[in-house]
Amino acid sequence: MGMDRRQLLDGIGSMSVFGELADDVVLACSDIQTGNLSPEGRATLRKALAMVEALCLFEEPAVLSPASLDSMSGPSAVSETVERLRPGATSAEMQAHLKAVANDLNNILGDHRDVDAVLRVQEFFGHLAEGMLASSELLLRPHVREVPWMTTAFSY
Amino acid sequence: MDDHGLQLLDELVKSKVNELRAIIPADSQSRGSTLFPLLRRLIDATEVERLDVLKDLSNASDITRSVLGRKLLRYNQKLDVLHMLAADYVADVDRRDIPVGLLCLIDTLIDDLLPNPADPLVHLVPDRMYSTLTLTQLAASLLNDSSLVASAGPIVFNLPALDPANALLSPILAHEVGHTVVQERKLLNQLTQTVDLGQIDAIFKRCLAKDPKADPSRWKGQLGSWISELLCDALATALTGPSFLYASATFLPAPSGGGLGSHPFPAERVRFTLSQLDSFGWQGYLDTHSAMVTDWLRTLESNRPSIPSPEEEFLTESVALMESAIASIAAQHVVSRLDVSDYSKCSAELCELFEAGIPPSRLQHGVPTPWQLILCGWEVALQRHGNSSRSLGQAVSDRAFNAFLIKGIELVRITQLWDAA
Repeated sequence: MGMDRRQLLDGIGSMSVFGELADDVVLACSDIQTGNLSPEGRATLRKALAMVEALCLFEEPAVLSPASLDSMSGPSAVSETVERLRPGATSAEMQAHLKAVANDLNNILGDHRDVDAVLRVQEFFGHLAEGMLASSELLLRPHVREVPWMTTAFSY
Repeated sequence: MDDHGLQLLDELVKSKVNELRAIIPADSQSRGSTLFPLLRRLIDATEVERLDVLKDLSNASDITRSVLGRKLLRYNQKLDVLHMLAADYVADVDRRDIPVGLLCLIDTLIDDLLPNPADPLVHLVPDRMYSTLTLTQLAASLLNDSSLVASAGPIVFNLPALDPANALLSPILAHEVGHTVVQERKLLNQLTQTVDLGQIDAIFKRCLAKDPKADPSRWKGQLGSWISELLCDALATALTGPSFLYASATFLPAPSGGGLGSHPFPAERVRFTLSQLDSFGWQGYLDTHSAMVTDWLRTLESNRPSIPSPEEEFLTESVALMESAIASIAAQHVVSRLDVSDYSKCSAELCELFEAGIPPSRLQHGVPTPWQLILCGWEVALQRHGNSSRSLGQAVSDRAFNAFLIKGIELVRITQLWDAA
């Protein structure tokens, strides 16, 4: 059997939650640029950092964890989308990319003045949110097989 | 996103919310009706999100407009998922075309296996396949509210449309309910805390080195799927005893080679089930009542190539290391395991009644459980049809006998309820 209903619904649920988080990060980055980062915005950035750190662990090639075994887990759903954003990237390249994002998020949470870091994070999460939408579309519409624009280059 | 796009998306979300609200019936006490408030909650949450987007839209920057556009697209997708659920399952609430005995069997499964109460919905599917779908888990994910998982919400039982009430195959349903147990009880987490992950990581590294093009994440997900399937097999075996062996050997079917996918190979699954039954003390029973079938199943070889692929090597070796932990964790989560000595106390009387065509309700040793009844059903059916591998197929295709068993389960449940009252 192909993807069954349970996998489809779990997948859409995860994409929705992480897509919403990614978009909230984009808004938080806009708030930083206008000097209006709220406590909720900071909490969003901390959640995003936790997610990226979980993804780094998830991408570690030879380490098994409960999340890595659960193909429907949050990190798994996000990882699939991140991989689509970086087609052909090796695990090491994916990890380096994610570590750079985590590093920027740490910088932003410590000191908002690194404007380039804010822009890079905003760009990454904007792509991730688009990617999540596209991944949901791939799940929901069997006739959609690939989304070419997702291979846009990153600043990282 | 420009104004035109945002306006269209807003209108789509609004009209889909209204359409779905009109479709969902008022709350009731019928079987499966917890679906209605759950769907309403999901629809209402989406409407609140839409109104929040509208508030943020005035004076929004270009970046913010892109974000709000994506949010509306996401809500639009969510509502399409809700459309799917409403279209598939609303008509299944309070359906009356299902034998009462089957509903009783489903209730027993929920009581025996699930940690939280659940409200079953029976849905007939065109595939000759069994599955379950816990809608509260989906709602928890869509609403990002994990407290919903423990609530008594709807669980869908997908059954093959042309033969939904096959009593002898019902242990397969126990396997399917097992998937909800694995998720709700976080059995994968428990397993990874029990086994030596270092050993499995070593196998992982060794096999990955043999395949430079391998996708490690996919391998890990695949291992998780195999373990989940074996956990579900183990739960079903603990609950239903040898009936699961007979049912899965027939349904898979055991001689099929199977492909490298989300499920372990049929022969491996049968071997694992046999080993679990032996550890529960069923070996003597199997040798006495189904010697030919069991002997054949014990010698079953999978039709896999003699040199496995690195991925297959990783999966089979890792699973072999975890087998005893899988069986032990599963056994801990089955409160009323089918016990060989309890069964032997009632089996002679049960068999006698079956042979006389009398559905049992109360025996000298009390009221039999549905799983004792199903096992006796297998015992009688295999004997009738000659105790060969062919008998397995003949047993499940004997519609009259399966209907008789379902009637027996109904009577047993009524007697249990009567006694409890």
